[in-house]
Amino acid sequence: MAQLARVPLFVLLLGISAGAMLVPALQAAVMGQWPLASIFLRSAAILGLVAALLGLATMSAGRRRTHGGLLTLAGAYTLIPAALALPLAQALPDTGWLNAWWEMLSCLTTTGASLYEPARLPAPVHLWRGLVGWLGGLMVLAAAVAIKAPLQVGGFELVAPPLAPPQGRAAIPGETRRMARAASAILPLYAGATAALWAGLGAAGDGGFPALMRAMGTVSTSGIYAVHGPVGARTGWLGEAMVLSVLCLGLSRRFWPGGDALRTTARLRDDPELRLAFGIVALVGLVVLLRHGVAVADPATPTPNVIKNIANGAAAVWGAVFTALSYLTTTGWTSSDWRGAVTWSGLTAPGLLLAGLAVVGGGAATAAGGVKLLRIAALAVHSNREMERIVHPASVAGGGPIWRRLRGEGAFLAFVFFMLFAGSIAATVLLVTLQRVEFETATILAVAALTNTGALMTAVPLAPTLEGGAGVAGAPWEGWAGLPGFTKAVLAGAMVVGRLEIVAVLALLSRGYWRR
Amino acid sequence: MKVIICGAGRVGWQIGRQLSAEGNDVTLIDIDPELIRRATDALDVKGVAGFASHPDVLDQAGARDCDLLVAVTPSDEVNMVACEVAHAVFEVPRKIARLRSPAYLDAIWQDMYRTDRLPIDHVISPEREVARAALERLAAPAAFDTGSFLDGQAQLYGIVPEAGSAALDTPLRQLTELFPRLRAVVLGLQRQGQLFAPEPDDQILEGDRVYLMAHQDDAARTLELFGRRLRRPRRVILVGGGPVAVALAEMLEQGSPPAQVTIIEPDQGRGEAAADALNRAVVLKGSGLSTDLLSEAGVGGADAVVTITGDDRTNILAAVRAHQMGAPLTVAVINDPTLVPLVDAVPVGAWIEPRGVTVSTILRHVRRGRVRDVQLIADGAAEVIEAQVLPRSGLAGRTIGSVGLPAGALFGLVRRGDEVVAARPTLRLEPGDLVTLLVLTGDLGEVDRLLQVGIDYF
Repeated sequence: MAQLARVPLFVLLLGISAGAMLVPALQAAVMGQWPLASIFLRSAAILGLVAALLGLATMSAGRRRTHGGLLTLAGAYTLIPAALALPLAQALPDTGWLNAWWEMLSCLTTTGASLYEPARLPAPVHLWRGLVGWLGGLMVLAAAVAIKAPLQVGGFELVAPPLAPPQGRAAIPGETRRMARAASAILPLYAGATAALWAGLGAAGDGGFPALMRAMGTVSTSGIYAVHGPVGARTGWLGEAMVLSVLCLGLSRRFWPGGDALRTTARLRDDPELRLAFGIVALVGLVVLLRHGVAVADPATPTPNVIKNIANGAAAVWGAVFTALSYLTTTGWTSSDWRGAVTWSGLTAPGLLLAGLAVVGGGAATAAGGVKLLRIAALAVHSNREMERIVHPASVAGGGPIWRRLRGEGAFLAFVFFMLFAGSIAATVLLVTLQRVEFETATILAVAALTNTGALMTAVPLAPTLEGGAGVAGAPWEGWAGLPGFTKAVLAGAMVVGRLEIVAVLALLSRGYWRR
Repeated sequence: MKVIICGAGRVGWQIGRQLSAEGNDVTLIDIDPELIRRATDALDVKGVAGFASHPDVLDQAGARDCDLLVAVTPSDEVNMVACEVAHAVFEVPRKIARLRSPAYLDAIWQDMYRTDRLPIDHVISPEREVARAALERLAAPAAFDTGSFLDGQAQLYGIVPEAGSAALDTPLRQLTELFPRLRAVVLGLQRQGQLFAPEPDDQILEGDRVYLMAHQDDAARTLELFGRRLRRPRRVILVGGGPVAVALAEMLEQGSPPAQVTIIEPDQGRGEAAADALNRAVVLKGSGLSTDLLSEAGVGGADAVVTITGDDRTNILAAVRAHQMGAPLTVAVINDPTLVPLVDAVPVGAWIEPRGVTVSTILRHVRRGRVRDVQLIADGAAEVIEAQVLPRSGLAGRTIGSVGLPAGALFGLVRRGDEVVAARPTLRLEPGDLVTLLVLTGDLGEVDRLLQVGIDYF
């Protein structure tokens, strides 16, 4: 462990990638798919060898100049997928490196957007995608504490002012050590929640492999799954309830070890993120309910069966609540009652609602993407405070230093972030529409990529783009596969920007960062 | 009883004066030799100059055979350590300490003040006591002094009867006959600055200050006889946002119905601390003397304004301004006793003297046992005492009329079991009864002897 902590983070991640390839190799071997098993095994051997050599070469490099790890993280998100794509490109020979890299990047950033038709991919490849997404979720949870927190980005800037850079030799320990420490603190809960959900869904009748994929996709909020379709297709209401409870982990960092600076309140029920999330989800349920009353139900013709109508209504609200929470955490599962909810309430453009939820995003420093609840909450408490100041111009606000920061400077930073996020959506749309992609499609593509919610494309009926392809396994009608290469690259960049958070990317681009 | 008092500040000084006047053997310890010299000159006490928590200083003060240690130095930590040393080295049986910092007073840590941990028998928090006194005062807006006895069942009010009210110019005996079921007793009258315990034929004249004790359930009706109302405040403005204000605001917010509190504090840091500590209170930043700020706080619609800044002059002036702007009740906290006569000249509803409150509280704990509760009234001219009737004492088995109280003492309400009754001359006292009395300071010794158990009891 002490030796491992001396290698650069990037090399360590390569090594972990090589190790992870053994899992689908084992699965392929058990299933008797020997060619696939040998592809994974060979990739693992090659990558492991490269990682070992790189590790040996860099271990003794002594004290390296570090830029706080943000650059490593950006590099990891763009370059590691190329290594991860090694088995994928061999398993699907006609897909090409760009598509394989893109697919892996989408998994690693927990976006979960796929170029392929699930039915045409072998199970070990699915497992590989799911596993990369799962590891990607763990990576972002650890990076939030190990890399983003010391740099005061990723939500931490909202609650505490930046510290002065340490003077003299009192350097913080290397980023590898910090990442390893954070990840080992998170891993028990992360793996435990996955295993519990796997067992629960398996018991509810989802089958071993689909349940594992569902569990990994839920905990990492990647939304990677082996077959399309709603969560409760086989497990029903019970399975959805289990998934829902695990999704709640994506609403606040207080459920995870580390990141205590983000703990804004002592009591769980006062937590601004959880309150906001609850409010938003309840609002969506209410909208579905009221929408039915306004647009669909005709008071002139009383419905013959009141009980049935109430049951329909309850199912619609449940479907809406589940789907709303799932998109809020940028996972992108849909409830089996969601279709029913849409028709029952007569919502004409439910996709837009879901895109809005994805933009709001989950809790700060969790695996979820989007603007993050904490920033929206900061804007909300700021506006509350401004209202208060209209009544009492001289009033002093309470709640402690964290809340004072959240209301003042924090709200300002949240606003800046929000504007930058909107700007990055506009920039992505602009770059995507350089090619022959329809504007609506481009907008949803940009939002899906920037909020790391790949499933958003399936929620919106769009005209498919057929400028490019991803081989015989590709699914161009899902929105992603048919895009030209340049657009795919742009969207891959958007995913990385969305995962790192735009402010961190800007920090990378600023000159001051490099001078540190 | 041998008592050591650590700290000869205003509070220590006054406790020393009170306890030595009652015939106790008092030793004062203070770091300032000058102060000790003045204390030994002015009071009937011994004095030791030195650091109160040092064992050698305590030894010199006679801690070995001491019965009670009262630690009232300005430092919480010195007070705590003095109690620890007194306990560990000299085995002083009872220790009372004044602690100011709210961190030491939080209810969740109260477990630490135990003999085997931090050996402090009674922790006195002046801030909380002042806040409690202010709250009592607010609950009875018409009273200039209030107190609470018999576990809250008996309330003491100091009021000035309104001109033309029913109780004026009527012999007290007649009042008792007119309202036989009213459990209330007029304990003391202050006429032209002179406090006395009234005889049944005395009358209440206009301009008298009346001290009366009434059962909690009869308080409203009793006060009505004097043209005064009992009303809980709903909107309160506190000028000053220090620890006392925060404690008072907490009590007001927890009351039923909860009051809406507005705090005015000029200092940003203190204002933020107050806002952090309170959930619903509005904290305004600025001077309590500013009319703009007082009207922003809604002084016109407020039920009461309490001025609790550290500066007496600000407190008095802010109270006057609040009164001018329409606040029905103003209460000023006045630290300097010499300013108290000034308050009578300006329209300030009531005042609280924090040191008097602290001294009362400490004395209450000093005289544990047969005397359960003590409150100083009329600037120390008299005490209202709650005491238990012990078997074989001068009270047990006698009727109120035949006890032979000195002229400067009078019985108030009496509790037997759960029943609280007024002390009529025919009532026979039984062992175990709780009695309340008003005693002028000069007659304290005689009353004390009455309360004591006869020699043959042992």
